[in-house]
Amino acid sequence: MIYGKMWLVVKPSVGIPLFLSAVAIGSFAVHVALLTNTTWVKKYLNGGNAEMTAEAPAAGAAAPPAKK
Amino acid sequence: MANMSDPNKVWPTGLTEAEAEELHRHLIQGTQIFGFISVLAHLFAYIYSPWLK
Repeated sequence: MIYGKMWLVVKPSVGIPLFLSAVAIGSFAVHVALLTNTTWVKKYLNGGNAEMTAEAPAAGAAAPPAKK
Repeated sequence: MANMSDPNKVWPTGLTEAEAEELHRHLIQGTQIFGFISVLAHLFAYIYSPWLK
């Protein structure tokens, strides 16, 4: 809002890649943090394979417990 | 120094004040869109797997 004049002293060819890289690195860090601290990201990335068939009979009776 | 009387002055980076402001408007708009998507993602993540209390 008030920093528009920044590009009069900072080259956009430097500043914009820097800004976008910072956003990308931050986003990557958050996703990795979720991957290492939750169970559901790994499960999501594993899709619907063998792990689901092994759980199905056991999970059938105790329907939907809170998953994390 | 920034509020000069010449609106067509080209600064060291090669931009005029109007160009810099326009560029910045686009940057801010893009950031806001990113922010809205981020809020949506946090909302969905919280609904699926609340992380507070």
